[in-house]
Amino acid sequence: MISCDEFCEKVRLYQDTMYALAFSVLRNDQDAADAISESIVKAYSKLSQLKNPHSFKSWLLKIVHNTCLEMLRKNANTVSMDEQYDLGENTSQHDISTKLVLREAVEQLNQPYRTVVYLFYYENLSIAEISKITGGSILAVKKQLSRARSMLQESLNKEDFF
Amino acid sequence: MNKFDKKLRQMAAEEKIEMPDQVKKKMEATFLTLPPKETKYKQFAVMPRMAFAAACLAFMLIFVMPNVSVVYAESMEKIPLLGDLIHVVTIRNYFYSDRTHEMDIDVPSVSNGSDGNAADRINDDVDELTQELMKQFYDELEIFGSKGHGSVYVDYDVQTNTPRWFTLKLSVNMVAASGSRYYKYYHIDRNTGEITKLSDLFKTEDYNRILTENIKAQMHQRMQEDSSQTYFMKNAGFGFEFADVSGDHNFYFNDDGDLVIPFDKYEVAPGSMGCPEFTIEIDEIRDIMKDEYQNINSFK
Repeated sequence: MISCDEFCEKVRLYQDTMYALAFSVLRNDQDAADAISESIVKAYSKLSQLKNPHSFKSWLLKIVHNTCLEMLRKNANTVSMDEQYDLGENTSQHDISTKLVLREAVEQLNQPYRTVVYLFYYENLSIAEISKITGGSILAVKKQLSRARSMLQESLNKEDFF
Repeated sequence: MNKFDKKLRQMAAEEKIEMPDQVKKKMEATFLTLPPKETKYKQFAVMPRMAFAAACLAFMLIFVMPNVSVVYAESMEKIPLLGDLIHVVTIRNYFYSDRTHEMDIDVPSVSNGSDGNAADRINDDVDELTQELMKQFYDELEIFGSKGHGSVYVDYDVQTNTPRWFTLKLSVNMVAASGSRYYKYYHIDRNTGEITKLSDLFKTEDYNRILTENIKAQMHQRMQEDSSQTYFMKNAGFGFEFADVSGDHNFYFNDDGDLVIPFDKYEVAPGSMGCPEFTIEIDEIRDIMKDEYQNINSFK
């Protein structure tokens, strides 16, 4: 069993990935901070359930992803999950710098494509790892990635980057 | 990996996402709250001796004495807001405390002869809510023990108690890594003896559209006047906004008799905005309000 300090050190290693994931779902810094904080507490309390220490990263990210979805569900009065996933343009909040070319294009994507793209391109995770985190099947993640790829290709071509 | 993927990963590496300082600060603050793994917590914290004595005395004065002494009970009846109008007393307190968890739930009981039915319904609802919160607290305590941490606090406030109107405000505050706070308002129209919902105040069906538009205009104005304020609005970059104010949404009348619509944390704004409230002046909605609710606080 790792100590509290060791746990904190391990979490710090993945802080940027946790943030990218939380932001991709919640789209603002305050809620992302809340979700990360809550996830850390959950992860710490469930540490004994982690059978394979090598899976720490995907296990932690799965907790972050689930916590973000819980927060969205609690917020169901404002918008349903499906509605949120169907959102079109102008959904980006400007906590993250908007001068970045790829990120601008990713921010225009609906869910679940945004999260899948962040995890695949920014965090270099494999499709199998993404499927563990989001809870979707490998086939579903592949399809999502493929659709996201087409949409990105279209929007980036429009901007004349290729 | 194809050429396109390689190009995107290269672009992503150049646009690396880093956790902003404010998020990092909150994360570090969370680390400080984690208990050491070896920690053993006491099942019940021992109350300081003085506090225990004070609690015993209060228990005697509030609960025991009125039941054993008719004279004492009659004298309590004469205390303003206890004797006349609607009575509200704490009938139960659920308390638990250890190093990582705390629960303090005050359960009020509303009683009044003429409004008995409405009072009973409020009591049943409060009872159900507090039982649910307590069950959730003990379930989490059993699962996480000293590895988790969390608190739940419930208290109440009699906001209005006049011969015309009664409002009980129940506050629920749950604290884990992030805080969640919400309120529940119960109203009794003393003229009818009935529990009154938001929809009961209006004579036209389009009240929720009018209230929603008013609230959205206020959100817009607040964001324009103060850049630190953010609400879930399409023009604030969220792409969605709250749907509308439903007929059983929370409300209360402030001291000026204006209608106030409160929202729970995360309901219409990011968590940092807390529980926003919007005041709608009666003059703005007088046309759609039933006459009997236009001067609710004139008895104060």
